[in-house]
Amino acid sequence: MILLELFINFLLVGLFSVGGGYAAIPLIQSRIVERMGWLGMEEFTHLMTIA
Amino acid sequence: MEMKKTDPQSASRARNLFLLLMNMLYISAFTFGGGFVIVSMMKKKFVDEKGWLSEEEMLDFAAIAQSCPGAIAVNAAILMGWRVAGAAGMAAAVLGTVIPPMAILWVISMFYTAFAQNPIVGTVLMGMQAGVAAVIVDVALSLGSGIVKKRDPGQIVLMAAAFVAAAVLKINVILILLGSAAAGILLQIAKRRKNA
Repeated sequence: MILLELFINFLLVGLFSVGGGYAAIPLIQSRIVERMGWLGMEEFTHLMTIA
Repeated sequence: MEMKKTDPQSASRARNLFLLLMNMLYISAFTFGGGFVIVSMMKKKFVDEKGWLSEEEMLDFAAIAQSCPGAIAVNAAILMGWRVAGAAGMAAAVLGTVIPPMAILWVISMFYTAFAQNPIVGTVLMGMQAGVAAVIVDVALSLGSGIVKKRDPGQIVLMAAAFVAAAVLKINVILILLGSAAAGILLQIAKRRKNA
């Protein structure tokens, strides 16, 4: 169930992003790009740039 | 605490919730730069204009928002909403903060696939990426130099060790943060013992 996985992964990101938005970037990279493989690194950097 | 302007508790609750939501929507929609920019806009609106809380309280809010997990803007909105109108205020302030970027990014992501393949947009994104990378390096440098300026050897070693763990050993970021938190507690205990 992708919605549940999304929720749990971002729950972890939110729980550990002490120091605001920029602190969340490496966490999102480690969970979403490296562990889950939902995004490629290029798409991830595009999304960070847009955000 | 003496307030010349409207006391949030005595004024109508529904009106306050509505004002909170509208003001946060406005602030969030027109603020670029994230976290602290939004906090200073909130101060201007809620402290200087409306007098809903004192400047001291706002400073405390900014400090708490920064030291808790989560986005600083959202954390500040949570604290502000709670202070003005309790749990419902908290929900109203968070919705106000989150809805504008959600709407804007929703529209952008609908066009993202078409966008990213366009050569002109691709060039623009490439250029912006360099800018974003520079901003992130700047944030890391100012955070890092803040640690170095404290001249606490324990913290400096901890920072270097965390960097090696992340960049060289590729250890999971969450594990590094948990380890750093534990090391921070141990360092503090050791310092107290020495001073006692």
